[in-house]
Amino acid sequence: MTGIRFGYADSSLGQLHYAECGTGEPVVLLHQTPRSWDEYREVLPLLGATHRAIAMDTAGFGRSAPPAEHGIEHYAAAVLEFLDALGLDRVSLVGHHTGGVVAIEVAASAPERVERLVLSSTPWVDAASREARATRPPIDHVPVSEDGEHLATLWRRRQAFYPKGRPDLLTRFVRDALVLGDDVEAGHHAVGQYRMEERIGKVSAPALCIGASADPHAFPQLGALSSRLNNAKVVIVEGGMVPLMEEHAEEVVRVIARFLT
Amino acid sequence: MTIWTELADVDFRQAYVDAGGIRTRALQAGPEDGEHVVFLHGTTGHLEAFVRNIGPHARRYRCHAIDMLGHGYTDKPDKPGEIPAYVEHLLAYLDAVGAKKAHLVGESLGGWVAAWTASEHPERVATLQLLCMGGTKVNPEVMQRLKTSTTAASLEDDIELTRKRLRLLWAEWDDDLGDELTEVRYDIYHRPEFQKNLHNLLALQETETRERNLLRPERMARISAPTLVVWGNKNPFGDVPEAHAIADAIPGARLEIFPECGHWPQHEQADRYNPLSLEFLAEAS
Repeated sequence: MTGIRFGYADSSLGQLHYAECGTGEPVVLLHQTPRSWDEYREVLPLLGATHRAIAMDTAGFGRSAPPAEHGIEHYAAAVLEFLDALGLDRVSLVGHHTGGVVAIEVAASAPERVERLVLSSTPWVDAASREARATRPPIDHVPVSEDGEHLATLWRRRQAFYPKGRPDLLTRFVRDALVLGDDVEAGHHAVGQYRMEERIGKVSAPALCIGASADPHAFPQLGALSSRLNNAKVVIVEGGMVPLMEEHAEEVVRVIARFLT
Repeated sequence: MTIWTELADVDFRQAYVDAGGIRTRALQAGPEDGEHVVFLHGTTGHLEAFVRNIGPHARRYRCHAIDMLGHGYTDKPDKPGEIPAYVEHLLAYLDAVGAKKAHLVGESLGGWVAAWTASEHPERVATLQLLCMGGTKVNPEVMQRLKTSTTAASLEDDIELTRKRLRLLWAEWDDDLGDELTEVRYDIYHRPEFQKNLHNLLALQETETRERNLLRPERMARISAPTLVVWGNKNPFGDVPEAHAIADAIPGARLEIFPECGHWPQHEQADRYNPLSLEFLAEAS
């Protein structure tokens, strides 16, 4: 982990944990559910070559203090407090999956704080999606069993969405998920309640939508999201799956860096 | 050569028809009292797939090349594009134009819709032409390629991606109309309504949905309409054995394989296709 430095920022919720690398224009990276800054472990030193890359543990995840309640608006408010604590007036935001939803809310609620927006594998959530998500079974929540079988179930549920031959990535996922205990589903639930159609119109920052062609849930929604943003650019990473940031860090950083200049 | 010059001698109309509440673009040509022939394009396609066929067919038949539900410039309701929805829309169009019965010519997805219609509503279908028909197989590699290439062409700015998407279809690049068809498709693909609707448009490229809508031999066996199956031997989306399987499954079906031909036999080899189709239609009347 060359050059990654860790820190805590004070907020009304308590301490917010982050990892950063590099100097220059600040870029804040927001992870998916149920991950942490570790989702950006490969990206940080690469993006850190040209920017000040900061991966935050979303409030309620990793080592960050929990919000009063889980919800996209609460996560976004914590991001803004985080920016205040670090003295960052204006940043670019990168969000992957849930992280992208949070980034949208930050950009909608405080447009003056957001330079550019990169939304990677970010879902489009409207009334029809909210209804569909309400009846979906839990994505990551598995009841604990005395013999540890729940750990295997947690692993296997994600396995189909991960590249073959990368148990290290599944290990990192499981490690992050275990920290959350029963709250592991909270981020997914938060996305499923978000009224994106009411907020998207307030996003003025130039946006780039990244689609991972082998992410079966996110990819089909790429057009639904990009077409509703103002002049959003779209880039597709072929063969990218759910852990896009870890598997395709070099390509993603190339795309992001090109967009941010 | 342009689409305009292809149609220069044809008395045609581009109409927007209310088909059961779906505003439907249709290219209509031919004698008002002629037998109806409806041309149905393929996945993510549009009625321009039949520009080389309208003229010759409109001499005798009342022709309708339509943009199917969710496609081209036709309305795009927010629901997954499954075959029964396409069939319902087609029937609503037939009702709207007063066609009790029609000859159906379907390419790829259009063939899938036409065959399904013939199996469920035989009284509405005079004859059936299935050109490189899709829907009989679940091929995850082909499905993934279609999803990715269409999404890229629709959402990324580069028109080359749309050109690439068309290049996929044909055995040889169409020097006459290829660039123009690229521009047409690019415009359609880049309309926000189209981009918003991509997940519905590509619903049949998801395995679970596709299985539910698959054209199985039992269904094809129910088809009573005289049927012509046309296949290009260089069809990138399905090999010749698939064509034989279809022709075998449909009672009395006739099979024609076009050599050096891809996914659009009606366009790539219009000079071969038009007389074949006209002969088939005349025979059946």
